[in-house]
Amino acid sequence: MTVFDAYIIGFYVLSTITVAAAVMVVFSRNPLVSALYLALSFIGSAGLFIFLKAEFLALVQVLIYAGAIVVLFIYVIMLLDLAPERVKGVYGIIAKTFVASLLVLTALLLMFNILDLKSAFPVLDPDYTYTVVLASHLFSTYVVPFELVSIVLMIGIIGAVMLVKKIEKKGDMK
Amino acid sequence: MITPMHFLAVSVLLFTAGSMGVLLRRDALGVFMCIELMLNGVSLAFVTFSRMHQDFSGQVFVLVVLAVAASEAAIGLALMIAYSRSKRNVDLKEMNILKG
Repeated sequence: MTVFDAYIIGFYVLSTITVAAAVMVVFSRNPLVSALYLALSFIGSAGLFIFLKAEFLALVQVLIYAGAIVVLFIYVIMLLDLAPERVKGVYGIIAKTFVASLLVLTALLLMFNILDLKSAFPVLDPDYTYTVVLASHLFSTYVVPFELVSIVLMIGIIGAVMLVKKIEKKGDMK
Repeated sequence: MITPMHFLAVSVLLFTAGSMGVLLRRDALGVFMCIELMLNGVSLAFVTFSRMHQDFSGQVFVLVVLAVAASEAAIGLALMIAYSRSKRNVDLKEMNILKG
């Protein structure tokens, strides 16, 4: 088996894992199981990022999505102690949603079919890491959005704390 | 041969699975997880186009999407905790007290 075949097989295995885990997120009734499949799907797409020569994004994907966000989800699920969903009497909705998503799927695939996407990716230098290029873009052209993102994150932190904090009544002040 | 179409097909499948979940799930947490799936599919499309055109702006945008998703998750989960203090669940079908 050549390296090229291994590349193709790797792609198909990874994409199957990613999509199957995504479908399981939707259809598993236990929120905790959903969250774990979500982590699996994120890790699979991190692998796909490596196939696209975006190593830094793959790393960040595993760290932030699979590491931080999914753990946050699991923490909240355990905190809220959610019961698995009841499935009684929703099969009509499932059928309708299935048809709707099939329509969306065909529409998106047709839209992508118009573009010229059948040609192979341009060849890149295999020994070069493109994280350097990403960093130079991030800190020159996109430095203002980069700083704005830090403000968004700060607002997120403050908002989360303010929302969850128990507000003391005025009489309780010590 | 793996072409951009293959990656875009995966991204479309992820996005569709996510949107299906948003319509189908009844608990707010499940809907929220499916929104993250949709964002992930869009990120994959961004990275694919960035690789296709050798333009790294797409990857920068994925980083921005990641940061926004992180803060969105923090605020959304905080909202759910605040809501469940009064209602004991996060069922979307019961979030209708504003309805006349």
